[in-house]
Amino acid sequence: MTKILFSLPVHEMPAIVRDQIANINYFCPGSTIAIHISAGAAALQDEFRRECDLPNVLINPSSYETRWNAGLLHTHVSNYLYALERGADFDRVVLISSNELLVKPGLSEYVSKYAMGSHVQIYDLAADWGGFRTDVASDMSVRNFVASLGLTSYFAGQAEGQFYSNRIFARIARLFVENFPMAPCGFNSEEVIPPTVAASLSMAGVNYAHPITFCDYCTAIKITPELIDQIRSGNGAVYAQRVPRSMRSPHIGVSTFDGIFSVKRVPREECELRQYIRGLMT
Amino acid sequence: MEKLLFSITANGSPEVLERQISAIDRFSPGSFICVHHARGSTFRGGDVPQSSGSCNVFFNPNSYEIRPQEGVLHAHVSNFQHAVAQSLDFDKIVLFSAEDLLIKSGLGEYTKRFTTGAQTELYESIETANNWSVFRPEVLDSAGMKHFLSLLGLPLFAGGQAEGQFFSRRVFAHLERMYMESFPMEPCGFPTEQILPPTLNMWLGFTGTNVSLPITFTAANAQMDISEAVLHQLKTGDGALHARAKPRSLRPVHLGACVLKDVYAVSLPADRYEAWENVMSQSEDG
Repeated sequence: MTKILFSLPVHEMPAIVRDQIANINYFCPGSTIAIHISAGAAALQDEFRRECDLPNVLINPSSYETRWNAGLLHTHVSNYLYALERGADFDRVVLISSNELLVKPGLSEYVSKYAMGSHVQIYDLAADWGGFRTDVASDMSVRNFVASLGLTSYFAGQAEGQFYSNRIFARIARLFVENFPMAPCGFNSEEVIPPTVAASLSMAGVNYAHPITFCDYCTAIKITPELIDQIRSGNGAVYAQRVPRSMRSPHIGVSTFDGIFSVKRVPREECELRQYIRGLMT
Repeated sequence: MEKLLFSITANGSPEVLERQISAIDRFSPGSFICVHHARGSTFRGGDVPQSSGSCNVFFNPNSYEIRPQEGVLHAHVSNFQHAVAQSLDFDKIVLFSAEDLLIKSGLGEYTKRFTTGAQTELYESIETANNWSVFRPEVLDSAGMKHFLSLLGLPLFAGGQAEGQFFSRRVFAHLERMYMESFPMEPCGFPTEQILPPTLNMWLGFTGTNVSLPITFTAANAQMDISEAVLHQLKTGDGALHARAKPRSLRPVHLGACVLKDVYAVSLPADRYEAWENVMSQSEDG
């Protein structure tokens, strides 16, 4: 069975993170979960350690600064390096966020069929997405990173639910460390660096799947029990207008439910949606 | 393996049509082909040499008017009606333009897995440089469109590339009925073949049917050329192709995702035939 390392950056609500761990352990047993606690949540470190004290959970001792919309890939890279240091056994790295939850089993078998799962959109200022920025394209670190892959522009895509083989994520980590600081970079590095690496590999014939997380922030669709039921059924498709300045969801307009295992956004609080998903864990 | 009906809207060139038929016979043997010629075309069935042994080719006796960008779905509907009248035994209908050429075998096995294959982009009200020029209020508000949407209970239409859409016989019969109820057998002022089948496809997706993508790769909406390297990658089906969309064009549905293994045809400009022939002559199917 393919073993998964979930990389999870957190910054608040230790009890909710504990709930997420239980969710992962139910739907994807045998996985390892590496947790990065933001430097801004230092006061919660002890509480996180208590709430997340489970055998398959690794609390990353490094706590880097995180800022909203300024880049999180350094936390995932740090989680990955710490998992290696601890000798964790994994074949795929899955990047997740703290306001998403798994909704069905089978992820391990699914990711075993692909070397990576990524959302890969070519840099295009006409695409009306805030992720495509001229200041990022002209940034020297980004240019060096892009050039090191033999490309002329960067690619970007959805961060949540990306997954990569151990070997490919090692390349992502190396390229990140070579070109960027272990700090917020001023842009969503997790939306840029991995998809750009995925693009370069795909040009050489490597196949990739979509990310395994269905996100609600880029369309008018909201996460509901009915949508979760449809995702679990694996049948049909959903269609929705895009939110202005948002990315185009990789999961809209074509039948992709088979490859969706997680949903975002689930509020980081006790709510009917969280309870509904918990009710599926029986 | 499914039996396919290729519905072709010919462009008046016997050479182009012969090449197209030859490719179908080579990569999808046993398929039926129904050809519609635009009204006023001097082209006749006898102009196509029978070197490919094309007893499976049926020339639609009806020739409807065709005007660029004003809709050709009536021609496909007419082809479908002609094929049914001829009692042809087919499972799926594949919509081909005059430029579509098959590039590999296995289509009949692939279509068996899906009820339909069509690109489906929801009517987009956000004005951006990449907003497709056919997403227009006057199309949405036209009497025919309102009636068509009312039959499906949908408030908005969808759009998608015309080339390489495929539908089960039953679904296309449904589309034919709705078309005949809502639109005339003539150009409608908008690309009906890019709107009405994707809208039905959207309805099917909403109601739980698994829908696939069109089987034709086209670079018409992208800033790229179809080179020999591109044709090779389409043949192997590995990896992905990446290119920017042309402004105000439909999103290129096969770019930026690993879906090339599900591409079986290419929409090829006339100046790229040599590249196609070179690649096909090197292929294992050759």
